[in-house]
Amino acid sequence: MQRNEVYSCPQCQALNKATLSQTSILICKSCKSLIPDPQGHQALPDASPMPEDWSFLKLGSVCDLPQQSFTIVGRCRLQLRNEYKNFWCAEYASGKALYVVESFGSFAIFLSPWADYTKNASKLRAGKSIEISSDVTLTGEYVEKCEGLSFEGELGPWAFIKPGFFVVQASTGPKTAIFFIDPKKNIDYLLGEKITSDRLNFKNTIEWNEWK
Amino acid sequence: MSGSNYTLKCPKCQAVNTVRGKAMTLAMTCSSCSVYFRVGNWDKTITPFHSAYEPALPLGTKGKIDGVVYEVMGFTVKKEQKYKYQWREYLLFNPFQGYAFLSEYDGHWNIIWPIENEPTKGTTKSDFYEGGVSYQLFQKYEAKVVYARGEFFFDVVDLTNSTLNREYIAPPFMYAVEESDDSVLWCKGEHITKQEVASAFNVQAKSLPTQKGIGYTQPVMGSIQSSTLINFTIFVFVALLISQFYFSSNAEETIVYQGTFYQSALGDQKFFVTPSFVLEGSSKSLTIDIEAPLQNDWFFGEFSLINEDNGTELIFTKDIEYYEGYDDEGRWTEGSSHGEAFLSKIPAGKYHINVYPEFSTSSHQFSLLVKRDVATMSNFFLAFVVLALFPAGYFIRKNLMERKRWSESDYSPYDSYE
Repeated sequence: MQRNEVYSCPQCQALNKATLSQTSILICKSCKSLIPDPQGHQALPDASPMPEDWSFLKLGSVCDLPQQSFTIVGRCRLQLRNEYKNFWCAEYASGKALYVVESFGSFAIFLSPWADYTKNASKLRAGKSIEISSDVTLTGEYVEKCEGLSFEGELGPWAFIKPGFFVVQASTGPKTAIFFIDPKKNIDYLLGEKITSDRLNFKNTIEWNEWK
Repeated sequence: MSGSNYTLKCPKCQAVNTVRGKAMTLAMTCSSCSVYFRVGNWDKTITPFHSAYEPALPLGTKGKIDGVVYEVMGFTVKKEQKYKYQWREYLLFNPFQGYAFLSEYDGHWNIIWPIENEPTKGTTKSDFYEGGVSYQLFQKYEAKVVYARGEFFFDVVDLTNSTLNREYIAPPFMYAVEESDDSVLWCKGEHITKQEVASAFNVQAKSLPTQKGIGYTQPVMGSIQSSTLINFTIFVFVALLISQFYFSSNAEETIVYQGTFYQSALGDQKFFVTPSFVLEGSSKSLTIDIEAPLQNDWFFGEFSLINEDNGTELIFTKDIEYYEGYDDEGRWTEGSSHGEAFLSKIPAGKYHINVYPEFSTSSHQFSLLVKRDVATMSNFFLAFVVLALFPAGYFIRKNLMERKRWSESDYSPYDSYE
C-alpha cells in the first residue's frame, strides 16, 4: 500500500487514505475491518477487535521531540500472558514509520527498522546476556507468549500477524530491544531506547480526568 | 469504583463482573463467588481460597502518593514459604504511571514501583551500590498467594508461586527483584508511614494494622542521615579547635606572684599571707600552681583568694600526693608533687592569698606560682564532650535498632560479630 493512495473498505465502502510510504496493515477507521492489499501479497491477520484499555494515546496523538515530531497513525496491541504491549505506529518525515512501544506507563521508541536476529536463539532468555552486535549486549528481561493480536489504523512494516509467537525484551540502560520469535520462522527484532513519557511530550491524548 | 462497560463472566458462577482495569486486567476474583480466575485462554484454572481477609484499603479507593493518583485495584495476602509469615499487598494503578504496590507487614508500609533498569551491580552477590548508597540483601524468599481479591494485570497467583524474590535495603529505600525462568522484574520501594497511607487514601489511621517492632525499611532515627551527623560533628570539632587555638595564642599568661613557703616560718600562725598583687584588665582567668617537694608523702592546703578592694573571698583547696616504690614489675609512681587550681573570670583588682597548709611529718615547704590570663583546655574538652553526647547517643541507639531490624534477616551483617 502506498502513501496518499485511497483504499475503499470492502465491508463498509468507507475511504481510507494511507499515510505511510510502506503500509503493511490498514484497518478501516469506520468499521474496523481489515482492508486487504489490492496487490494481493498479504496474509490475513488472525486478530481480535481492539479492546478497551487505559492507554492515554490514541490515533492522532502527536509527539513533539526537539528534532522531530510525529503522529500516531496505528496500533498493534499484543496481549501477552502477563501483560500487554501497545506498538503505536507513528508517521514522521513525510511517510516514514517508527514504533512507540507502551505498557503500563513505560515507553520505548524504535526508529530502526525490523532486523533479523541470526545469533544463538537459546540466549533469548530472561536474565541472560544477549549480544546484538559487537558493541551492544543487552540483558533479557522477560519471555512472554503472545496470546492475542489486535490492530487499528495503519501499520508500517509488520510481519507477525498471528498470535502464538514469543516476545522477549532485553535492555541495558536506556538501550532496549524487542524480539519476536516464531519457532517455525525467523526471529525479528527492533532496537531502540527506553524513554519517559514526559520526554515524548505527547499532545492530543486521552485525558482520563478522574485520575488527575 | 467509577463505571466501566468492560465485563467478564465468572467461569464458575457465571456472574457478570464489571472490570475496572478493562483489557489490562488479566486475572480477577469474582465479585459474587470470590474465586480467582484468569482472563486469558492459556489457563482456565479456577482458584478458590480457604480463608478470607479484609483489606485495610478498600478496593476502588483512590489515593495520592508523590503527587500521583492511584486506585486500589487488587489485594493479596502472601505467605513466605520458609518461615510462614504473611504480609499484604495492594495493587495500585494510574493510567499515566502504570502500576505500583503498597505492601504492609506488621503495620509497616512500603510503596514499591517497577523500574526500567536493574540497579548497578555491587561487588558481591549480597549487596550493590546505587546512587552512592549501599543496598544490602535482607531477605530471599519464595511465597504463595493465600488470598486475593479484585483485579490484577498479571496472574498474581502463578507469578508469586514461580518466582524467587530478593530484597535489598538501605532504609528508607529498598530494591526488590522477582526472578523466574521467564522474567526478571526489578522494583524500587520506599518506606511510607501509616499516617501517610491513611492521609493519602483518606482513611482513619486507627483502621490500619497496628505497628509491631521495626519495619525492615523503617528509618529508625528519623530523618537524620548518619553522614550529615558525622560531617556536622567534624565541622563543630574543627570550629572548636580553631577557637581553642585562637584563645590559646592570645592568652597573656602574666606571672603576678611567685613565692616559696616553709613550715618553719609559720611559727604560731595558722596560715601564710602572700604579698598583695594587682590583676589588671577585664575579668580573666587565674591559675595557682602549687609545688611541694614530696617523696612518698602528701601536702594539703586551703587557699583563700581575697579581693582587697571589696573584701570578697574565693576559697579552694588542693591536695597533693606523690608516692613511688618498686614491686615485681619494677618501679612505680603514683600522684604528683604538683597541683594546679584554675579560677575563671577573676575581675581586676588588688588581691592576696591566704594559705592554710597542712604538712605531713616529712613535707615542710611548698611554692606558689600565680599566673593571670591562662589558656585552658578544659572548656574545649567540656564543649567537645557535650557536643559529642548527641552523636554518640545517636550511633549507639542506631546500632541497637539496626541489630533489632536485622535480627529478622537471614543475612544480618551483625551475625559475624556475635
